[in-house]
Amino acid sequence: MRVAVSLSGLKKSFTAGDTKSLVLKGIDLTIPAEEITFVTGPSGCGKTTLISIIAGILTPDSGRVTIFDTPIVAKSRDSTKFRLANIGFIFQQHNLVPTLTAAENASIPLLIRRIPQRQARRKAIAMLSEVGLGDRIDHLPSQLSGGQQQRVAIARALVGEPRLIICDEPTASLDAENGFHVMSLLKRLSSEGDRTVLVVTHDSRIYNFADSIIEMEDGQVVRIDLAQNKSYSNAMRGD
Amino acid sequence: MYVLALKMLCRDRIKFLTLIVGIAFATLLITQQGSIFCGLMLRTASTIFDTNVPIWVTDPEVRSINDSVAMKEDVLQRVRSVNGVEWAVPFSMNNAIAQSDKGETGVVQLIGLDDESLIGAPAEIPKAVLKRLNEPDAVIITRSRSENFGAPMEGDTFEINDRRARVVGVVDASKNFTPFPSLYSTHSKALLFLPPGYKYLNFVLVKPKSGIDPARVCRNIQESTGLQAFQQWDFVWKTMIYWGKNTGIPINFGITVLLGIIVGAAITAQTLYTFMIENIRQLGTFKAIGISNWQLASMVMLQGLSVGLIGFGIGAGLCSVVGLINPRNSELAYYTPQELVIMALGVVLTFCVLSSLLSIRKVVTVDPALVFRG
Repeated sequence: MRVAVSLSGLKKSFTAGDTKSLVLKGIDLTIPAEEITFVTGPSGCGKTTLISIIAGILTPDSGRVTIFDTPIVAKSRDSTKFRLANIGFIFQQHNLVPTLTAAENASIPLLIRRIPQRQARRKAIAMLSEVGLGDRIDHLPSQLSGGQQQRVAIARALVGEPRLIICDEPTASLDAENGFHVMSLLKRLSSEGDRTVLVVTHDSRIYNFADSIIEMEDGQVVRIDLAQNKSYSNAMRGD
Repeated sequence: MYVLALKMLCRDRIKFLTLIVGIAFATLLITQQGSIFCGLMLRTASTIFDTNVPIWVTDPEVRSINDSVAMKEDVLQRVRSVNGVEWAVPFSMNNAIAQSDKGETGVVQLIGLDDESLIGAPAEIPKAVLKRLNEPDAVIITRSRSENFGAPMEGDTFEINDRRARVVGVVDASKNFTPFPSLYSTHSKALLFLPPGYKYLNFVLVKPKSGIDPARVCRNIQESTGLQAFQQWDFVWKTMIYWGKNTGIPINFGITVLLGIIVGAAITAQTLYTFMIENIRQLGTFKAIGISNWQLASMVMLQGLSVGLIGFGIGAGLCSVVGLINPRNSELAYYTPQELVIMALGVVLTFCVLSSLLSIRKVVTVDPALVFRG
């Protein structure tokens, strides 16, 4: 098994006033490459903190993060460059720029990499066509439905051809049908590009898209289910 | 990325327009009030411009064109004998009480020109009219400020110190800072209009010989006669500084200009900052994706400078329009030197940069982890 992400002894605490709370209590985890891995668990269990540290956005108190054999030092210039080249993000709130068109939003990661505007736009349009929005390239986010906005966000995440895609509750703001379409799309595009997908979700309707599911509770990994052992309900398919 | 930064700014139309209007208003306030200030200050020296001679010689006590101190008549010969002087002529400027034939009484500024050459007369006086100053009792009156005398016309008469003066011309010379009309006469006639027993030579107008540095001629005059000698613009500056120091004009206009700067800075800073705060989630997304703080700061700076330049262009343009539609010699003193425009540009861009820096501080410290929060 090829490894995409390796975590060892990961601890993270937050201080609010006089209170210090330990959010991650020593996580040791390996996430396989080219698979879709879900991270689930109740609110406050540390899922978002975990992916923030994996993405190199938050600094752990202790422990080590390696992505594709590259050690990640949060907030360093190297990790920012690595993130730009290797990680794509999909957020719960889409986080599209409201004054930019779908094509312009999708081209942002390429423009940050200083790829010429015309070339970036061409790639962004191609990616929007891939996600079924070829006829919506010049629409503003306000002119798109929630599902279409999330597809623009997927195009933005994939346009730079990252090896790892981190998704934070990608279906939480979508209805069942749109959530299913978004996950189907994500699964197809990730398998075509041999990408690793890490999804943080509460949404039990999409669990059957996972190759493995990591369940967290109180800052610790309490269970890892592989696809063949799925024990989760599947609301979408009515299993 | 920078093109997108500009699109993000321009497509948020309400904020974009608020920023442009705020900066344009501040620019207009700075340049328009500055132009009125410059216009007023230049008016204090309008007689110097009208006279248009290279060198002015005055008593050492003189601090401005209006601060005329009489010199002995023999200084004229002493100045003429100074090395480097091509010609030197008398020029007198005194206030006198005049009464028109319509019965109106008031103060006039009586200007005496050299009898032979009539050097020092404003260019606006036609030569044919100027020559008539050699006629008995002849005077030329400026149209501005002459309303107090019932708008005199050619042929009207005045009584000045019991002597008759006859108007041979009414001219549109530059408005000056005093509330009186100017009466041009010859130097010898002007002496007759004034109370007897005094010396009334206030200035000597000098032209240096061709090829000789006027500054050197000024030094020669000062060393030889003990009088003051100024080149034209030095005397203009001395006059403007005198009026600036001895009136509240700079303070009053300075406060208005400062108000313009504060209003413009407040509007710009507040709107740019709000614009950034409202986009903080998107900017956090950029940071999560991998944009560097430098790129992010450059984007914000570009946005700030862009609205600054556009707003400045509109404000400065409006200021120019006011200057263009303001008739020459109107009551509104208005002059926009390029130094004022450059200073206004510097001020506007400085507060745009400072406002942007305030926003940048917020943007570069934004926690990209916030984008993972719902």
